[in-house]
Amino acid sequence: MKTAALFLTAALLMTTGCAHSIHEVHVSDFNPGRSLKDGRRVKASTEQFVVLGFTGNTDYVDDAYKKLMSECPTGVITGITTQFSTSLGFFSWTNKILMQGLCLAPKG
Amino acid sequence: MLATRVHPLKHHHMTRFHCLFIALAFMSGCASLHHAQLGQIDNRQGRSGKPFVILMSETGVSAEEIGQIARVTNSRAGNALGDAAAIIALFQMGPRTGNPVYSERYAERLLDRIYENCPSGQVTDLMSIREDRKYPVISGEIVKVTGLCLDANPVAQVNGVSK
Repeated sequence: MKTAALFLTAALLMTTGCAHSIHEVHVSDFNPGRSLKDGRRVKASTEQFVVLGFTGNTDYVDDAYKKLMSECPTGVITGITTQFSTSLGFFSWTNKILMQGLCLAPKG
Repeated sequence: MLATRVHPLKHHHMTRFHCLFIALAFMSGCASLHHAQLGQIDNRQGRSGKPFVILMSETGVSAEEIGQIARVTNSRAGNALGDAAAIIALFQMGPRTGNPVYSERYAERLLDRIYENCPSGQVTDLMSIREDRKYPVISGEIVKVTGLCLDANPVAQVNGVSK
């Protein structure tokens, strides 16, 4: 019983940090398939702060998409990874979108 | 006096029972799928490549389960631990997939990991899976990506489609 109490206390102490939940990680196609050195890494992230289910910002995914597009205005973005996660908090939470990809500049 | 002493063999059996119970509890891990998505499949003739699997995971901890287990003991310490777990759970509000983890960056290097497995970038059949493996109190929160790294040789043209 003492061991179990110690294990539970240790596990409880582990939970006192900032907690997160990753809901989904998706990776797009690699088309055209090029090596990492042929392109430039691009990244865009946006957040949505929510208090008890109420929020004013409902465009954060669109904003991440636009930011990623602006990082590679004339090229092709391939191998896009999209991560949707939430940072949990006290009666509030923050939804996060992280998009990363490889920007291939146009030839010529 | 003699009646209150624990027989050494009985004590030994109790320890073995506890070990068996803990081992059984951890063997009862259940895997559950949260999300699966498949990308483009290049299934043209002449295609050959090397399949790869990328696994990225982090330990999830459930404060609620800690509280529930602690309360089952029905002791003062157990109830206090249960109360502490309930307070901590208040600081973990929000939508969840699996148990909360303490690093949100464990899947951030996915693009690098794909290129480590396939430096040419000729990747197809990509499947993204989000799943977890649940044990008492803790869980393994897993992001899994499988794919096929095509050989550098050009793929045979079929139906006018070329690489």
